[in-house]
Parts: sequence; structure tokens; C-alpha cells
Amino acid sequence: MSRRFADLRLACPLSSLEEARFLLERARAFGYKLVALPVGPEATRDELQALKAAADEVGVDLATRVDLTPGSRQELLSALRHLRRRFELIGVFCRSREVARVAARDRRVDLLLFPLRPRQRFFDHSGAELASGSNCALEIPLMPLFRLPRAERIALLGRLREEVSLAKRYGVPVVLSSGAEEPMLMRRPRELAYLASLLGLSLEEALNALSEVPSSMVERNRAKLDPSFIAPGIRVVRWGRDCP
Amino acid sequence: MPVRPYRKRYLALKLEGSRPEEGEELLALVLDALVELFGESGAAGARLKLIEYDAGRGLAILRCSHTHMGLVRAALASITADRAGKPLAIHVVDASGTLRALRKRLPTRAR
Repeated sequence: MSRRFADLRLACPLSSLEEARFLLERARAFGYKLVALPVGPEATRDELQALKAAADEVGVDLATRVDLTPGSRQELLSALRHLRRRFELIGVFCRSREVARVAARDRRVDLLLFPLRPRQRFFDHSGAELASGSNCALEIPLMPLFRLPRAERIALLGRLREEVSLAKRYGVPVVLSSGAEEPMLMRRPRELAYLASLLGLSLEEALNALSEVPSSMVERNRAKLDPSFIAPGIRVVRWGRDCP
Repeated sequence: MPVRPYRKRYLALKLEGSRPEEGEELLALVLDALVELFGESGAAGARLKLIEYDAGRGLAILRCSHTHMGLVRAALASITADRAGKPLAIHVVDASGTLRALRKRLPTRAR
């Protein structure tokens, strides 16, 4: 069976629905079936519906995603309370150790993101242990790496290898995405998988990080957002008097 | 019985953006990326050869050894700009063990 490839971070700034449609068409041509375009927390339900409709027309599955950049624990918790029921995916850009710890522990967070500077990446043993218990994944956007000056890229690649090794050790899922900030930076899934060999992932692991891991995450969240969901493994099958 | 130390792999490439005018420029760009990511040893093992390049259509066929195909594909994906800094993307649209099979499939794959 062919893989259902996903790019959960197409980070190109969007000013119109036409631009979104262009990106979605390009993603479909590259072989992606599932795509997420991160939007701001202020995005309305109508805007999200319009994006979903455009994706349906193009023929790709669009997951609604918001990326949070909280400055403190309180900011993160407050944003999660307001946004969890509105978006299928929540990514947290961790700029401090405090935020990284809270995000790694919170089951409402799906994806952990870190700055490109190795010293500002707080995914260590404790973070990995917390993340392994809460089912959130470490996301690595690949293409921004290749926009960095050489010395910075080498330092970051070294740091990312350590993080991937930690994630494997603690059983934290790794999600690979393009992180493309412009359409020219988009790559086909297999190209991203080969690039991931630089991070110490085998081809099979990289392909999973681009297909099975993100797909199952989106499916799980969609099930949770369904009105019939009660708790993991429990959902309402029938309402009313016809229930035995 | 003699055994070949490596088998050939042919990669069909599609270039987007600022395409090099000459094949040599393209090969130099790919070699630079390969050396930058995997060093001269990696680049030497890849046994790169540019089989053909059509600058007008932005299509190329590159040959490499099967043992280093992953490295070559990673290097190709890492290219984001040409030597002048203008945006360039190189996509691998197909890979094959024979040139004949690759050429046969190319018209449908490179659309």
C-alpha cells in the first residue's frame, strides 16, 4: 500500500486564498495527501472553512494548525484552553526551558518546535521523558536548515542528531516537515526523507516521520474533536431512548 | 565470477528557478552540495556524471553509484540557490537502473 505523505508545516506567508490554493496544488503535485498550513490564533472559523474548501477542491486533506509562541507557562496554558477545540493540530514554538517543559508535559500539545539556534533548543533528557508520556512529537522542519550560514548549519545539525537520538531513546515520535517559507523551498517527500539521513534517521524511519506518524496524529485529534468522543476508546454510538 | 563494485543509478532531475546555462555549472553545483554535506570522500564515492542537460526545459539526467544514491539525493534536495544566490530547486522526478527505462518514463514523470 502506498504511503500517505504529510507535510505538516508549509510556513509560506499567505495573503490570499489563491496563494493557499497554489501551495496546496503544488503539495499535491509533489505527492502529499495531507498538508497543514499554520495560521495565527486569531484565524476565524470562516477562514479555516475556506481553506478546507480550497483543499477539498484541489484534492488534498488539510489539517487546521496553529503555532503558538508563548512567552511564559501562563500564556501557553491560556492559549491551549482557548484554542484546543478549534484546531486539529497545535504546535508550540518553545523559546524558553519553562515553556518547553510545560509544552512537553501537556497532552493538548501535538508538536514541539524549537528555534534554529542550538543554545536555544531545550529538548533534553527531561523534556524527552515528559514528551514520551504525553504523546507530543518533536517536529523538525528541514528546509530552513539550508538557509543558514555554513557554521550555524553544522552546529545545528549536530544538535539535531542528539535530539533525534534522545527522541528514539525515550520513544518520542519525530515528525519531519519541509518548513518551507516560500514555494521554491518545498520538496518531495522522498527528498526530505533522504535529507533526514543527515539527522541520523534511516530511510524507513524518515518515511514514517513523513507519513504514518503525522497521519495518525491528525486522525487521533480528529477523533477527539468529534462530538461523539468521550475519552480514548469511548465514544457515543447512539443517543436517546433506543439505547439498551 | 567478477562482481561489479557498484551499480549505476540514473536520476531524472527537474530544475526550477534560476537554471544554470551549461551542464558543467549544474554538475559543479551538485558537487559543491555533495562536498559540503558529505565531504570529498562522499563526493568521490558518488561517481557523478551528467548524462544530459536541457537548460530550456530544465531537465537533466545524472548518473551516480547505487551505494551513494541516498547521499546524492540529499545533496540535490539541499540546494536552494545557485552560485549567484538566486533561488533554485532541483527535484528528482525519477530514478532507474537503466537509462532506457528512465527515458521511457521521463515524459510522464517530468510533467
